[in-house]
Amino acid sequence: MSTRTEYDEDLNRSNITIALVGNANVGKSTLFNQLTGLHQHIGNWPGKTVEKKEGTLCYENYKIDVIDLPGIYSLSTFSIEELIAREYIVSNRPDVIVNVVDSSSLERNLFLTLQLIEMQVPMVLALNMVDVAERKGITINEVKLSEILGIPVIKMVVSKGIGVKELVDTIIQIASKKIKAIPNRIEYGRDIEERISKIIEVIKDRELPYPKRFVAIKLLENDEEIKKLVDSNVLDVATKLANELSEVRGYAAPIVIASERYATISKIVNEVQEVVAPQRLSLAERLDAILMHKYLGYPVMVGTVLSMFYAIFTIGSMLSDAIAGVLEGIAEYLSTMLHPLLLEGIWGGFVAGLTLLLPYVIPFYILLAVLEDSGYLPRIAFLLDNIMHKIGLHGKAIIPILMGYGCNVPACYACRIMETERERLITAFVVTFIPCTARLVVIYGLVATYVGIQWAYAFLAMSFGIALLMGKLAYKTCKGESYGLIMEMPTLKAPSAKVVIVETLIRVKSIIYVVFPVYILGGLAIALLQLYGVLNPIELLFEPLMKDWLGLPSFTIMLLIFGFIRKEMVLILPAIQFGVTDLNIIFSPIQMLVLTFIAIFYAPCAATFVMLKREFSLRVAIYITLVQIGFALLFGGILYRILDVYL
Amino acid sequence: MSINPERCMRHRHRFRYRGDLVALTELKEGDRAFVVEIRGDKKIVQRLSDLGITPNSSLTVTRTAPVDGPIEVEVRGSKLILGKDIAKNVIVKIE
Repeated sequence: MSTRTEYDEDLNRSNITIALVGNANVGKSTLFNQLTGLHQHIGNWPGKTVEKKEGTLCYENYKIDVIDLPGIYSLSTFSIEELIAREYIVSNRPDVIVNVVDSSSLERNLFLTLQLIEMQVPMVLALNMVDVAERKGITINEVKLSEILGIPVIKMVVSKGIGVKELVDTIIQIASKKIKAIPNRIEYGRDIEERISKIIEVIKDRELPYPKRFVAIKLLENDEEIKKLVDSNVLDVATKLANELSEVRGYAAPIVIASERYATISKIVNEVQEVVAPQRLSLAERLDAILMHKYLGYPVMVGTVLSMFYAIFTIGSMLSDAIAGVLEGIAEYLSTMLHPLLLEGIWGGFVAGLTLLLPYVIPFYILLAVLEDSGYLPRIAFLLDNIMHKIGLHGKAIIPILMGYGCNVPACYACRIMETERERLITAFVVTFIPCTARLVVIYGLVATYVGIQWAYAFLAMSFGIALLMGKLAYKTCKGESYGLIMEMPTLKAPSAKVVIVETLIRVKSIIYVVFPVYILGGLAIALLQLYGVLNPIELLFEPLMKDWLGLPSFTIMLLIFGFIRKEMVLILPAIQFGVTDLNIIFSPIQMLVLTFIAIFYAPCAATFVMLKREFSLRVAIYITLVQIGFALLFGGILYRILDVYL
Repeated sequence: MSINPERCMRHRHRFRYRGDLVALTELKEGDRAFVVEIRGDKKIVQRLSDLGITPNSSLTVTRTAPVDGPIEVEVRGSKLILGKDIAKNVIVKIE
């Protein structure tokens, strides 16, 4: 926040507030990052689990506050995002609205533009991705478009920085009232216009936060939130007119309005856009034919994901060894100053973060961001939609689930892409069953090394199956709304290094802020417990459970307690405590399998718990933890008995 | 349209003519159709029309996924993916 005070001291600058509005996947976030650089603050909208991104740009004599509103397709009430966007615009009155649109699908993008125009705020149209449009043979006459809409239109390729300076200059000119940017009125069909006028007639003397025309149209659309703003007299008139309209046109009034908007847009687009379909299929289309192929798509997907994991573990172990080498030297120096238990707790947690999380998780998230920015993740969502459907979710859920293999913490955050509260909760529940890097280390270190690599693969496959089964269970017990999959399919493109780096940083940030403190404080807490000898009675208390039911040595309860802080402790601790490198001496193969099974499932780690509490509630976090403990102990015992017979 | 009797027998449950009203899920890759009606939850209908799937809009099925998977349609110059449960509520007229 130091940057903010630094700016505030600079009183000579004029303040401008702008808001970025646009569909998802139009390069809005890229523009936000280009404008604000590192001067950004990411938080939540008050009381909502919707991300709020604010940033500052200092340019010439201006200090421009930039708000990145959530990606939306309309100003209706389908999602909280849409409500947030429109409430922000009326209550905060930004000086300029920057409507970012994707030139390669102008028609759909203008749907939101038309509604923004009805809000009668100064705005500029950022015609982004003109390069993608050109490749599709689309050219747009921006001068004509600007004339029709009555606002400045700027052609841009934000990912390459093209047009950004011109946009900022235009924003400043609009804010200082040097150019007109209050949009023209866009007329609809006569039957609709007549009814709009009639409603405006009734509401013209009332104080309303929104422009009259906007309110009138929204009333015809039967918008629940806008209806709350007017009294019953107005409502009666509006309902009558809406019913008339739907009788004349033969569809419900909201559909009539949407159709009419699109009809108007078609006319505009016909005037400003020329399309010469390219002779050959583009590279993106040819790739799509393979990536999204009915049958071929699946092996390609599995191959991509597996080679990604292979790459991560190869790179990760190299990085990890290198970092560990450096840190060992420092540890030796520290050991002369700190109590050994404190050293183990605090320093151990710090080292674990550096050697485990960063070397594996960062490459993982870089590769995932590459897949995401290139547009491959939506294709995976397409291929896996039917499987996700079996558990009451839809294809999009695969994105947080994949992220879960890196670290569950940012994956829980990523559940925000799901549309309803229920889908978000089920997805988060499924994510906590996905073995993250720390658990993969346990699977690798215990099962693959000592029992056999085929068992490790079996565990991986089984964990995915169990995650889905548990999802199904949650779907049956958790009430609420679920929609199916409605998703835009972005064109495949070469990923931009900038976007990949920023996305990775944002995700890693949540790891550093949540996981590191938990590792360090949790490690310290357990070190203190050990120091005061609280742990031995616990060991005795749980002996029947561990020994008789699970067939494990009684000290393993310690591993599970430590493992709650850091799951990989399950692997590391026995080696430290017994001073052995060959774990065969301590555990039998069956014990290793049972222990690994429990380590994977027995509870979300403390950092994930914190994240669940933050994203949902304490109740949800406790509930998920209890379900997992129950599940792991019950099936751990059953697994032990089955293995005992067959091995 | 010439009718191949053998194909007709084999695909008789799926064989459709121009102008037939069918659910979007009945279409095959490459089929073009006009939207006639969108049924189902009010919110979903709103969402679909916000995205350009309005009555009388023309769409092309660009891809289908196996086993009750979603379908990809091109509508108003952009591509959308619709889950089976949603697509079955979109009634279209084959062009």
